[in-house]
Amino acid sequence: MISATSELAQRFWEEGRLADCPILDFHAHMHDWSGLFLPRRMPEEMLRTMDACNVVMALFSGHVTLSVPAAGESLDMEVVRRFPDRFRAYHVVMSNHLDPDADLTRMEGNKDIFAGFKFHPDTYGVPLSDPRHEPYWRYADDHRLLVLSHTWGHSDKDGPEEVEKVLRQYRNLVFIAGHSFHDEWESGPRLVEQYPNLYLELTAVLDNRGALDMIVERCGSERILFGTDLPWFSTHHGIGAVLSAEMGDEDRRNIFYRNGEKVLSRFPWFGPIWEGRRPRAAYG
Amino acid sequence: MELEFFDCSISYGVEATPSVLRPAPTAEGLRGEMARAGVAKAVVWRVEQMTGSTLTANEMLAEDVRACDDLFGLWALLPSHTHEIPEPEAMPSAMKANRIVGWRLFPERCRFLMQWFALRDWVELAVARSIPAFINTAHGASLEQVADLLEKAPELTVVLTYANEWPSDRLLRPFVKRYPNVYLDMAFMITDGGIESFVTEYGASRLLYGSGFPRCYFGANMMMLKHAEIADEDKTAVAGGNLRRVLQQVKL
Repeated sequence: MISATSELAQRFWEEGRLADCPILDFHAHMHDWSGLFLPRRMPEEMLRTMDACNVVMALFSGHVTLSVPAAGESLDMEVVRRFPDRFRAYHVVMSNHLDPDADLTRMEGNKDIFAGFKFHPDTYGVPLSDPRHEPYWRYADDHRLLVLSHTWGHSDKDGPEEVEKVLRQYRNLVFIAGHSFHDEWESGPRLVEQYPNLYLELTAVLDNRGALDMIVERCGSERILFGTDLPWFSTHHGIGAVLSAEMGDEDRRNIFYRNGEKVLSRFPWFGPIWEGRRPRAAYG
Repeated sequence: MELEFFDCSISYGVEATPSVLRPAPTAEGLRGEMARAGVAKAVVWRVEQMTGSTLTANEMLAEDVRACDDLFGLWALLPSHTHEIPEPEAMPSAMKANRIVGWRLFPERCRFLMQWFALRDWVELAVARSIPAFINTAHGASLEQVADLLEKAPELTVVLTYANEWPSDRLLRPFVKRYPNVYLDMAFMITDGGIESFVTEYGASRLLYGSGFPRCYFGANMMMLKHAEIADEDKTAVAGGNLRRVLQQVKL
């Protein structure tokens, strides 16, 4: 039952997926990584989960791309080419192995593959505002791209202060705060109020009861994007958490797909994909 | 298919310094949240057993659960050497009188060694009476210490919570393979496809539904289990059947 007062929860509980409530996942990975056993790490297996939950599209950066500098972007690009209606990639900004000329040329030549960039400052030990990242920020801002960054509370690499340095300077890109400044929960709503191009993302937020409730209470539900770290965390787990948190069903729809639809509408490739999947009935 | 959820992983109470965003201060409040989510029964402990006054909180817990038919209590265990809790020979009857079905171990906060020489009498009693020990790695018990106890008493019933959301199968599957009475609390086992993969390899009898409430939502793991690609009877077992069986085996 999950939430006795939510009609959406009742229907998700019974059916597992809803045609009138599709999902857009803004924080995914794939392939193997040394620290983890991931039974559904390959794209075909991820699609099995996505289909079971009606996840229309996942935006991802592969583990190999994130952790094996010699591998480059080719694995992720190949996945998008194989499944263009289901996946888009974030080009990884591998802070200790930067080659802006090559990376931005790759971006320029593959606008139907990459939705933006992925930063992981805590992992690479390089702050978001490091001058070496400058060409990537400028490119993302010039092209109104998405930038997903790992963000964590109290971090001097990707905590609120670092993110704010970027947001003060770049107003056209969409900054997606992965994990919503985990453990420093009040920072997300505060920054959302100040910066219209900031969105909060829910990976690793949803196993902390009360965090999402508080974010929605403070800044509403229109600047929150659903994400799971798939294939790390079960999509049904994430859905169940959103359905459990204290908010209305319209808020839940904002989080599951409406906010994502707004963000992705900037890309020419998104319209045709979404046209066949967007809710039509009483829900917009 | 209706699933009856019997939660193995719930705490409540009032910490002097709250460690979760939304605590559940009272048993009554907890039961309200369980009803809202659709959780029928739960094995519970009070946070004050770990962070406050263990002896007093053991009594507070007993007072709470004695009045409830849907809650079952876990007492915090201490080494018998200091004679602070009922002696081993008196423990089963005291547990029975107070609706206590097992023990929790907080070696870090309660400052004892979770090792065979310190806990031998308790472990031997647990094995003889099939009393489950609920052990959470967030409470100061390492997996190495759990393994050490189990090597000395392989039949010990352990409900094991590995308090880290990162996919943990490489750490936990060897326990299930080697020790017949180790059960895994699902509270933080939220890997995509993890239930399906585990059940294919080991069957469904060793997984227990646990929410981790109030740190986590009830409904997240409920949803994950409800729509897992496993047989309906396996879902029934994980949701509550396995825990019911573990508790039926307890001889008090």
